[in-house]
This record gives sequence, C-alpha cells and structure tokens, in this order.
Amino acid sequence: MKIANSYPYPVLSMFTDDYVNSSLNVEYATKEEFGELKILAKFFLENEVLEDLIEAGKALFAVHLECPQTSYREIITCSEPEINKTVNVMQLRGKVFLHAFIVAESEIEDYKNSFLSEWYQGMIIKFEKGNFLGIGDALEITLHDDDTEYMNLPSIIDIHKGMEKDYMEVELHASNIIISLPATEYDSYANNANTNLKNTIISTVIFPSLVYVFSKIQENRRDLEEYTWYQVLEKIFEENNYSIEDIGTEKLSSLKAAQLVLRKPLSTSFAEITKLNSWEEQI
Amino acid sequence: MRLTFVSEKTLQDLKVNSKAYLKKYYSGDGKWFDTYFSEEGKVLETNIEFDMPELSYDDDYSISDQYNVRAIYNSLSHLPVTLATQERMWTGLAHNQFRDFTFYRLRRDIEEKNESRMFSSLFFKHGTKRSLFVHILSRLWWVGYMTYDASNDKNPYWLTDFFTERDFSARSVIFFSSNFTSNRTITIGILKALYKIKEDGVAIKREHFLQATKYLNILGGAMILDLLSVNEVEELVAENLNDTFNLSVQERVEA
Repeated sequence: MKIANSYPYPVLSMFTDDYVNSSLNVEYATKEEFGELKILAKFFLENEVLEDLIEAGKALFAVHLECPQTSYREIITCSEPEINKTVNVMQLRGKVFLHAFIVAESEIEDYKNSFLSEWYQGMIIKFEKGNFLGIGDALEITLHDDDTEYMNLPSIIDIHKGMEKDYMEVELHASNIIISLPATEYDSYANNANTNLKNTIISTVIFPSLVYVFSKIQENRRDLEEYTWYQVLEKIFEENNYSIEDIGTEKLSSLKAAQLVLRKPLSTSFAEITKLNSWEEQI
Repeated sequence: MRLTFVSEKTLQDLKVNSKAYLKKYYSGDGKWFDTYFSEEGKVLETNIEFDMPELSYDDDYSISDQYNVRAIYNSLSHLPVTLATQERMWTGLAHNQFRDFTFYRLRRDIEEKNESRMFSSLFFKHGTKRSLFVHILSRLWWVGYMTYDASNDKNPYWLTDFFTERDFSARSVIFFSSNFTSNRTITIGILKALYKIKEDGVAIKREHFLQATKYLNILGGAMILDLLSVNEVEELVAENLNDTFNLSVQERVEA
C-alpha cells in the first residue's frame, strides 16, 4: 500500500515530527515452512497517551499485508504489541508487502497528547475510525515459485530461434528474459555455445541484451519486479552489496550493471580470443 | 478431466514467435495446434480435476461474458489462487482445453486482423495483475472470484451478474486496477452501493465506477480502508455517489 508523506492530523512515525520524546518501532520475523508463511511483528511504542488509547480499545496495533499479484490484502489488528499471522503460501506469489500501524478503532474526539509538538498545541484534533495514529516499519518479502531454479543465472535467460526475424530481440515481460535470435545466428549460437568461445558468445548475445534489460528497469519497475528474472537479479545485486534500484542512476549505469552480473565478460572474452589467435599462429 | 498448462519454454516460444504463428491463428488451423502441442513436454498435466463447463457462444458478447463468468468460476472455483495468477496456465487452457472458446471470443479480432488485441487477449502483456483482467479466459475466473458473495446463500453470484451486465471488458480492467479492490470486503461494499443505486432506477455507467474508486483512493490516503466493514464501505460510497451525481434529483427523474 502507498504511504502518504503527510496527514491532516498528527501521526507518530519516523518520518514525521508531530510528536516529541515518543517513538514507534516494529521488528519483524518471518519464515516460510511447509507451505505457510509465518509472520511475527513486535511493536515498541513509547507514548503514554497512545498506549492508554490502545488499552481502552479505542486504538489498535495493526499489520497490513498485501500481495499485488494474487490480489491479497488483509489487515490484522491486536491490542497487544505482538501480532502473529500465518498465511497459506498458495494465497501469495512474488512480492509481499507488510506495513505496521497504530490505527483508530473508533472515532476519537478532542484528542489530547502532551507529547504533541508545539505546532499542534491548542488545536482541536479528531480521529475517524481507520485513521493512522502511528506508522511503523515496513517489510518486503519475496516468495519464489517452487518449481524454478533461482540462483543459476542462465536459468533466467532463455535463448530462442526467432523465425522470420532479422535482428536480435529481447522480451522482458516473461518469467525469464527471452532473447530471440535470427534463425541463422541461432544455429551458429547453438553449435558454438558450449565450445571454447563460450564467453565470447556471452559477450555477443547476453551482454548487450542485459544492457538493454537494465536500461528499461527504471521506467517499468512496477511491471517488471514481479517476474522471476527481476527477483533473481535483485537478490544477486543485494548479495553483492549493490541495489537493483540504483541501476540506471548515477550510482550504477546499465552498462556497468551488466558487466557486474556477467563478471567482466570483456576480460574473459578477450582471453578466449587471444588464446585462439595464439593457437592459430602456432599452426 | 485434469487441468493442464503449457511449459514455460512453450509459453515463451508462442510469445517470441507469435508473428510467425499468426496465420495459424487467423486460419483457425486446429490440426496445426494439435500437432504443436502434442510434442512431449509442451503440455503439462496438473493433479487438479475439473468438469469442463458448458460455455455460452452467443453472438452477443455481453450475454456470453456474463454467462461464462459464472460457468468458468463454478467449474474452477477450487483453483489455488497462486495457480490462477499464472500465465502459462491461462495461455495453455486458451490454446488447448478451451480452444473453441478462444476462437469464438477472438472472432472479431481475427476478422479484423487485430493482432495486438488478439495477443494481449491470449498472453500477459501488461504486468500480471492487469493481464489477469485482460486475458479472455483468466478475466472470467478473476471477476467471478472477486465478486462472488459467499454471504448470500440464495445467489452468491448476485453481484457478479450485476457487474457483468454491461461494459464487461473495460469495467473489469478499470475497477480492478485499484489496489484496494484487491480486498474483497471493499469490492463487495462498492458493488452493493452501486447495485442499490441501480435499484433506485439509475443506469450504472463507467463514470459511476470511476467515481467510486476515485473517492476511495482519496479516502485511503488518510485511513486504512481494509479496516472498514462491507456495510461501512457501502454507506460511504453510496453517500459520495449520491452527492457527486446528485442522484436523488436528476437521474431518478430521467429513469
């Protein structure tokens, strides 16, 4: 769900300064086992008035769970600062977003809180049912399809023979990145892919395709992030202390990103070519 | 019978080479499709049993769409949601077990040689969620799933029938592109509000659906809509639509 930057009433959160000497932090623990996703959210609230409201049943701790692909949306509320939830993974696919809140359970009139910032002092404040009293941390989980091999890069790129095509094309809207080669080039690729020119072929076919893919990520992220290839690449970048979100920005160009993923393909390709040439010279 | 889907590789081949296969679609070459899919590994069988529904092939799509939402959801309501989001299943079904329906539903696009419409009806071309409500087969299931009202014992499809009675294709995409219509409590609340207005004699049009989702979008910026009950959503939406369209005065007079 989208979280707004400002509200027509005071909100306790990391990104607002509506309160002083107060805080709301949430720690999550999640695990997937035997077809279930288990979620634990622990709330750490420092603000007496909000604590009292929760105790009086006028406000609640809440975790909002959303999976855009499967149209799954649910809110779990509790008056205790610990929320446990188990979801059948057959309800979820790809990205799952968790957000934590303190919400008004019923109308709260003439709200007073001595920890409100000066700006709110003397103001008449009212909350409607469902308003946010506090916004805590968020968490994003990625669930992988069971039948997919995730960590092996070639498994997210498929190369096809593109009949009636004159030029190489790349299709992004699929679980795997699909590269289609003109028929003749495909045959050459198929005959040579596993020879001693393997890396050179990667540089010729996969490297430019990945540059193309990365050049499209910024503008189409919302659509693309649900695909397996995107999720695998996201994980690869994360594990290597980069962020896929930085690709296409000043921090990380598409060109460099492709070279990182393919582990310096120019270097390995020229090594192959040099080796082949020196071998031919010997003959 | 058992539900089948196509392998990821087959799906990709159909997509990559869709232009090359175009004439097979245009000519409705059933034999070619039979031969293509008979190759080992192209069609995979699941362990999910279902009864093949009897679908409507009425000349008027507005009649058949409404009937077929019920028919498809009735026969496949036990489908796991995770599977129901998969392109390889819907594309596989559209090409195999439901091929007759596919050629019936794409008849006009085929006649007009509208390949882009045809392929976005058969493959996921817009990101998963939107595609689920565009694909000619998956949208029938998803509209059934999202509008089925289990609380109504006598007719759980009463809101489905209302939703599908006109403007089905556009209505499905517009209405379910909102994030909050993923919550079925909210969806049912909105539909109940619209239904009641219709009962009062107002012809429900696209603008009514648009206003309802627009209003909730604004409201959702300051509150968690998911916390509301069906009745609360219904009340809020009804009030806003009455105000926005001045329904009690203008349109009821027209009706």
